Order: sequence, then structure tokens, then C-alpha cells
Amino acid sequence: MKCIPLLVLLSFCNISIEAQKTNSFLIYSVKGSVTTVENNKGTKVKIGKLLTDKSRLTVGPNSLVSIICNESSLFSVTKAGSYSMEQFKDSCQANKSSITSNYLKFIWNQLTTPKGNPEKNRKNYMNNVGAVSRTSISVWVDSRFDTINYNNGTFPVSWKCYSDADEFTFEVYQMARGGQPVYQKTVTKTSIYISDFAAQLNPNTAYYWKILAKGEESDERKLFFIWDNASYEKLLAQLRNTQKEFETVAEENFRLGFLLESARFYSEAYQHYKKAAQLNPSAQLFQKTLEAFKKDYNIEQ
Amino acid sequence: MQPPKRPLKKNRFVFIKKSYQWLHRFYLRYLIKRDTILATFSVFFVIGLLGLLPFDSGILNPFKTALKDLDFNDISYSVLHKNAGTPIDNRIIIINIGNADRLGLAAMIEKIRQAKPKVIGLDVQFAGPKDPQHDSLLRHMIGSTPNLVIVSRIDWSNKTNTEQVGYFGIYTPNRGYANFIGEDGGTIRNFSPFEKVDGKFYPSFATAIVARADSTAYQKLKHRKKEYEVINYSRKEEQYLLIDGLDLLENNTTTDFFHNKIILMGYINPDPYNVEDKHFTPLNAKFAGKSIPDMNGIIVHANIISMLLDANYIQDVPSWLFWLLTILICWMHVALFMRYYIEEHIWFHIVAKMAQIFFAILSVYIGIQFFSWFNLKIDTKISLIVIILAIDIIYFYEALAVWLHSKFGFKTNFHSKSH
Repeated sequence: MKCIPLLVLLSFCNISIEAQKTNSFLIYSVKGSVTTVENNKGTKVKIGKLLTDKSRLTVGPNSLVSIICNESSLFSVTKAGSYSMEQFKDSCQANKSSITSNYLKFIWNQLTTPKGNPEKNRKNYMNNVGAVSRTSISVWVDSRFDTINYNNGTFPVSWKCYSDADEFTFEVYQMARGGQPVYQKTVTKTSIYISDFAAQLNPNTAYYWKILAKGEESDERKLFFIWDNASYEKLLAQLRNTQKEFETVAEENFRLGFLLESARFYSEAYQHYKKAAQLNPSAQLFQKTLEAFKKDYNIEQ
Repeated sequence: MQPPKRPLKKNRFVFIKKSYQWLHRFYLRYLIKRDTILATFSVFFVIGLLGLLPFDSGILNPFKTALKDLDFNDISYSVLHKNAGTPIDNRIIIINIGNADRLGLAAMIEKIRQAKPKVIGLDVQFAGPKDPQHDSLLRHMIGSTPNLVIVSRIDWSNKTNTEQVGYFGIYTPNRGYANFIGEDGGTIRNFSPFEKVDGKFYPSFATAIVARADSTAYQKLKHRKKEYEVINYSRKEEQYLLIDGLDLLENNTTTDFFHNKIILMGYINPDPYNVEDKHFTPLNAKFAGKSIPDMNGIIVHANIISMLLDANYIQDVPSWLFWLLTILICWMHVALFMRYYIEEHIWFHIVAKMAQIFFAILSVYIGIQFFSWFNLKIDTKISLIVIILAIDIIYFYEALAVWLHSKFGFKTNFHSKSH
């Protein structure tokens, strides 16, 4: 019982600390004349500038500014005037729903949206279309590139284009949908080497990439995952040890190449296929597989 | 002196009579007890009440949720391999278009139509324009091939343009919607042969093909006047003649045998992890639980076409017969449960559980056999639910009957001291 007043006091302190937290505002987009006053000094705001509660923002006529608050919520100011950033603190409330409220929302939605069953209410169940789609997107990416695992080496991510587009934008994101690209490059070829962008990404993090021809929308984003050395070596050791029977080094490399290709480690698979073909040049299977692999993934000779 | 032997017939009669007397004493008399009949009635009354609830309680009911996309008849396909012995359907030839673009498709149609097939079905949706030259060629092919049927899509959420005809849809009247009936990502068991939109009837892709290929089969389907048909999956991919579109373009295959056949052009990818235009079907090796889609859309259409051509429809048990059987099953179970509940309560739960297990196995078996032998679909799920519900209803009924007895002198076999 003695603990209760202490708990109440701690809770009160926690609430007070939460209330005292300052907000940080990041300028996300600017159009027109937007200035900020900090420490009695006025400057024109630029994308990426960080403001605090104490900053003051002046938006000119026909201007707008979009701001991200506390890495969570985005809002825009379009009306001309001078604003204290503190007055935007209500826009900083992130939509952090608790598990309970999310669960209750889910239950609510489930309970209030009766759909019947496919036999009795077929119109609600006719969303499955049994036809392949040939959309207006002219860029085609092999479905094997839906997921790319990577640890080392050089390997081209390639695509085909059915239009006359001569410029493509390759983008890498941290999210499957939405967000800003963490890597962007315009290329004129129909491929890009993984090593060109992998160095700028963090290992053990899921990234999503897409390729778009100029003036076109793109297909869904594909997964790209960089394995750190320790994890990759562990996986490789596991794959190596799955075969207990005798095999030559060339055969082992060929098997590893096959297993790694299946596991979508294309760059690493290529290295093992190459090694197998080099170690045993007389083996037709190794040579032909390597040739087919190069052809499949558009690897230049 | 030995006693004279009784005639065998008389012995048998006595045995039957004694057996009947024993059975009557043990079980049959419970069938006609008022409590049994009222408890049976209560089971269906509760089911009716649950059905009247204005919201979908499925999410709170793991049993219902688990059974949502489960049909025991799927076992006929996935475990008992109902379709295993079906010969190759040589009336249908499937061309795998692979990743062919619009130019490739136009070239394929050109080759196919020269062989004078009965119908060509192009199972591809075209969302918008692409390369002007290729589009022009394909448009010409579609417009100038009278026996070519292309796919459209029914979108019920679009009130003004329910039939989405796609980019080339306006160049031909020969269209059929490719929609199947099923939950999103669920098993495809049904299709609707026709849909009525603003007073006009639209055929499905398979129906439109059959209408041009076999008018008798088409009339038969029309006369059934059913809003949906259960798909009789008779064949897998390998039970159809399959030709690679590239082989066709590179003249690696002859087109002579296309004459008078139904040619379906669609996308097939042998990679099990490529799920483009792939659907779950009852032929999936895993008939329940998480799995990967197993059949390309074009093969599902081919199965529907085979079914329509052979008039090999899956029949449903009439509703009245289905409910009559369900009530009968429920009544017999309630009588058994009542007997043990009142007379030998110590055994009640064991007997009830054993009866449920026994009936579950038996009913699924009977359902599967009827489906396999007679193409007759019996939904055994409802009778299973009824049997499971019956035990809880007996408890409720007992409390109600005892209360009615104490208040109004209601005659019941239950009495407050029984448990």
C-alpha cells in the first residue's frame, strides 16, 4: 500500500516530463517566400532546416511550407502570416495508437462490415480476376528480382524496357510504400550494379527498390536486403555443411552457387558458378550453367 | 429326450424383437420425448437468433473463422485425388504467352487463327496504351478475328462502368469477364456464368468461349439459370495440351492440330513461387492452413470450359433436403445426449465427445464420397456445428425446463437434483 503514493508521484512526474518535451520541426518543402526568425535573426528557410518551438515562421503571400514534426507527422502552412512554432504543437501529435485501441478498431471494423459468404453474396467476392495483366508500364523486371539478398561482389540488377525510353531512374526506399528515396540514380543502360548503391545502405535492413522509365509510373517496389558478413558466413557454412558426401571443390562451388541462387543471393551465386567453371573447365554442366546464368541476368562478358 | 428344435425364422424374429426392445429402452424412447424435441428445436432457434445478429460475429468465433475458407469436399481433390484419372482434354489447347509483349501476342494470334480453331480466348488484361505500333497491330488482330474472345473485368464498386473492358475492349464485342467468386486470396470454388448489369447480361470468359464453341453446352448452362456454379476441377495443368508461345512464334511447333479446337492464350509460370495470376484451388496440396497459390487463372478457365462442355456440373443438395437431414442428425444426437445426460451423467461428456468425433469423421467421409461419386456437394459443416452446439443447448434447456417446472409445473425429465 505504501507503494501507491510513490507510483502516483512517478506517474505525475512522467506526465510532466512528457508535457515539457520540446518539438522539433523539419522543413520538408518550401514554395514562395518563407522566412524564419531565430535569436532575433531572420533567414530564408531551406529544405532540411530544423526549427524548434521557439522559432518563428513567416509565410509570404502565395507561399507554402510543409513541415515534419518529431519525425512523425506532416502538416502544411499555406496562409500568409507570422507564426510561432509553438502554436503548431497540436499538429505534432503522432497517431500512436495503442495495441488495445488498434485491436478494438479491428474488432469494430470486423463486426460492422458483414459480407455474407461467397455463395450468398457473390458480388462482394468477385475481386479475383483470372487473367494476367499487361499494363502500360514499359519496364519489366524479372520476378526473380522480387527479392535480392546481398553480401558482396558486383552484380547487375537489370530490367527490360518495351518502349523507346532512354533514361531510367533507379530508386531505393526504406519503406515498401511512400517515403523519400534514400538512394536515387538516373541511368541510361537497362542495368545498375548493386555495388554502386549497396555501400550507401546499412546491413541487416530491409530496403525497397524500383525502376521507372522517364514519364512513367512504376511497378511495385522490390525487396533488397544486405546481409552483414557474420550472418552471411554463418549461412554459407550451413549451406556448405548440408552435403556430407565427398565432392570436389568445383562441385562444392557449383552446389553453393545453385543454393545461393535459390536463396536469391545472385551476386554470391555468380561468384561460385564462376569458380566452379574455372576449377573444372571440362565440365559441360558448369560451363553451360554459367553461360545461362549470365544470359538470364544480363551479365556482360 | 431332446426338446424339439424351434424353427430358425422364429428364433430370428425373437432376436430382432428383443434387440428392438433393448434399443427402445436404451435409446429410441428418448427420440420421442418432449424434452428431446424441444431441445432440438432450441438448437435451430439459437442458430436462427445468431443469424439475426446485425453484425458479423465471425471474428470473435475462432471456430467460424477457422472454417471460413474450409470446404471438406476439397479433400476429394487434394487428398483423394478426385481428378487423377481424368484423361487429357484434347478439345482445349493452352498457349503459354510467357512474357510476350503486345507485338508478340499479335503475332501469336496471327499464327493461331490461320489454323482455323473454333475459338481463341485471350486471357490478358490491357490497362492502357503502350507502344503505338504494337498497340495498332494488336488492335487490328483483335478487331479482325471474329472468333477471338478477350477478357474484361466486372467491378461492382464502379456504378457507372461496371464492365471494365480494358484498352482493346472497345474493338470487339466478344468479351467475357474473368472474375471468379472467392474471398480475397481465398480458394476459388465457384464462378458466375452470367452477370446482369443495368438490365444487360454479360457472360463470363468461359461462358463466352463455350457459347462460340458448343451451342448445346451453352444452352444447357443457360437453362440451369444458376447465379453461380461450383467449379468441377477435373484437370491440372499437365492434363491439358500446353504449348509455349515462343515455340509457336519460332515455328518449333505445327499449328495443324489447332483446327477446330479451343485455343486459350494465357500466362503460365512453372515456378511455384511465381504467383502472378495464380489462385488457390481445391487441388492445392494443403487443403487448409497457409499455403501458396497453386493454379494459374487460365487453367481455372480451362477447367470451367471442360466442365461446361461435358455438362459435368456439381449438383447441390436441395435446401429443404439439406435442412431436413440436418434436423434429423441433430435430433438423433440430442436424443443420445439426453439419455446419457439424464440417466448416466457420469458418462455424458465422454459419450458426447466420442459421438461428435465419430460423426465428424463419418459425415466428412460421406460428404467426400458423394462429391467424388455423384458430383453432389453436401455442406457437412453445418451439421457439425449443430452437433457441437447441441451440448451447450442441452445445458441451457435443462435450466430453462427446471425453472418452467418450478414456476408453471412444466413437465420435464430434468429435475433440479439430477446434477
